[in-house]
Amino acid sequence: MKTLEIQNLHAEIEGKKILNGINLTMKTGEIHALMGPNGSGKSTLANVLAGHPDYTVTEGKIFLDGEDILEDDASKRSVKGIFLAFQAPVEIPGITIGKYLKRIMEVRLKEGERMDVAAFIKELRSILTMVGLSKDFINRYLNEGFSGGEKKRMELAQMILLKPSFAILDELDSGLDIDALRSVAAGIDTLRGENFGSLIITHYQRIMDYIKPDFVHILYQGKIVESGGRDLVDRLEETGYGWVKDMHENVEESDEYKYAAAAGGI
Amino acid sequence: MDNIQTYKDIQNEALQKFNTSSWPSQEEEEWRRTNLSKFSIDTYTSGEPNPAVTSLVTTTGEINDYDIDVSINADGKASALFSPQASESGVRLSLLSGNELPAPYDMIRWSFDKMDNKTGYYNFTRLGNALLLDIPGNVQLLKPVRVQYTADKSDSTVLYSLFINAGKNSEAEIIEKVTAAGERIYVNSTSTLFADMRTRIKTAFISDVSDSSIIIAHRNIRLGEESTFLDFQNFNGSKLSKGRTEVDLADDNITANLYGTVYAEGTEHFDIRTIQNHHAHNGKSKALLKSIVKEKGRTIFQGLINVGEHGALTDAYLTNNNIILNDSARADSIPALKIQNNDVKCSHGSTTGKIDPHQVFYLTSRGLSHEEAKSLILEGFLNQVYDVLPESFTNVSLPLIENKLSQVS
Repeated sequence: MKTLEIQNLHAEIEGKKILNGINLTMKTGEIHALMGPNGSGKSTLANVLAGHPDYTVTEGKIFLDGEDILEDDASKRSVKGIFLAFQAPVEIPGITIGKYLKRIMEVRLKEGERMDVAAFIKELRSILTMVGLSKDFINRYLNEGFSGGEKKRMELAQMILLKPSFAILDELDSGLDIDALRSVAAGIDTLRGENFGSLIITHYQRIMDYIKPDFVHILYQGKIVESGGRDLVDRLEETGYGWVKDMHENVEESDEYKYAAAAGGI
Repeated sequence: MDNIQTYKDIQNEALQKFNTSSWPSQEEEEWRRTNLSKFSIDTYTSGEPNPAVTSLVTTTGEINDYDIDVSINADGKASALFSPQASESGVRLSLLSGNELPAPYDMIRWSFDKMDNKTGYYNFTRLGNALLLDIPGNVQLLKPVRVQYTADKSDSTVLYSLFINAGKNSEAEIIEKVTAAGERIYVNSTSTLFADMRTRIKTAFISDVSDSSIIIAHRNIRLGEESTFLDFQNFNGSKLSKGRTEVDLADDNITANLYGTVYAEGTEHFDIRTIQNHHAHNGKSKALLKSIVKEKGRTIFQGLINVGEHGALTDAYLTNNNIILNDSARADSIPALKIQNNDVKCSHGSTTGKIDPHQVFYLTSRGLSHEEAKSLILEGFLNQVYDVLPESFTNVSLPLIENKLSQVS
């Protein structure tokens, strides 16, 4: 069992405070869902955990299995077992999926270890089929010209291939139809077990009809203000975030929240 | 008038024009961003120029990757090895002065008439030393033709010329690779292709020149009815590389695609011009030039789509994409359209920017180092050209760039 422990995490971007002291401990074998209104800091948390260089951690720690990874860049965190599935994956023209995936597998080889290319291709074909993408995608450029759903499936395929200890899925369910949502859920189920933990960031309860989280957290103004089980999802579904705002109005407002509120997003 | 006299007329005309003209100045639009005096062109050309080829020996034998492999060394000695298939097909290679083949007067005249400055006239002053590749009608070469010229005598000026005559319904891939390994070499090159109707010709011009050397390359291409054509140019190294590729879609239903890649670093200066001349109906052409510019490197791309009054149903595009790796690097993109027919579809576009940091984060978040992520993004950027080229072109060009891609910091 591994642990991902976030202690009193504060972070900002371009001088704007977004995270205001997040505390969360995840273990492999657990699925955590993180919900919250627009501007609460969900994507910022995902990016900070993955090591995005534009965000500055001003206070707090992140421990992966007891090791402080705050100084590690995104690359090192990835190799150590953190995976971020992007909300809006970028397109990288000119690089085929086959070549790219082979390369990201190669960087994980230990010294002196060699890749079994035939086995890799076999596994890759199998994963693409599992996530609902044709084998032809191996020769397509990474995410170029993909539909929204295809991009999300490709994120899922990479997660299954890399077998991370902890996957942060940043709104992997947004923009997906029911069939794609089922594929995503099935993909997560293939990894679910004692060596895999996940933080599912979402706006909607519907993904939780397919993936049953062990814990549900509500992020508000850069802090986790409620934690519980499935009942939290039901409550949000019935009443929205109004009660969260009423209960936690004294939480220090993050800058991101203020901007989102001013823009009418909340 | 015999054949020798025929090309000698043009040679004499070229000599007169060369002697009475000045090097192009910045007052001429095409040369506005490339000041030849800044590159001390006079010091490079103070001595007598050396013709690239003074003698040619052809043999037939087994070769693996090519149908014809031509090597020209710095002494001007050219050797050409033909595969048995190429030899039997009737393809011939000769020096224009060798009088083994009738000098293709029309092609030489047409190419010479395209020249409008001293650098263009230069090669025609030594026409006898030009190579002529003659591909008879209906001949399809299954493997590429490679012409490799290596100049290694420092402080020299070299004139390299190749004429290619492709008969009706012929097919070939032709790679010219010019290397200047010595210091302060000025290579002035002219390549001319005259392709008859229904030809399927692919050409590449690849240079690899030392940092103190200069290369000026003129390339004139005339395509016949229903031909398809692909061209690739890739300049590497040099103090100055100036390339000019002009394609005439001279008859109906022709398709021509022009591609190019450049990686400029240090103080390297690359000035590339492409001209797509649509003189007839239903011509389709595309130019795609990609450059990566680093340090104080500079690239200039000047593209022109020129549709004449008979160019109805032309469908032509011109694209230039540049990636700038640091603030002191510079890329200029000057696309232009000149259209004299209303029934056409023509457009151009250019982009210049830095490596997208979102792409870098995406790749690093999957385990690639920062450097490797950038290198992969640049590789992808160029692959949009390399992936559409014949493998033989990529195999010659990409190794010249790959090391540079891995040194991106």
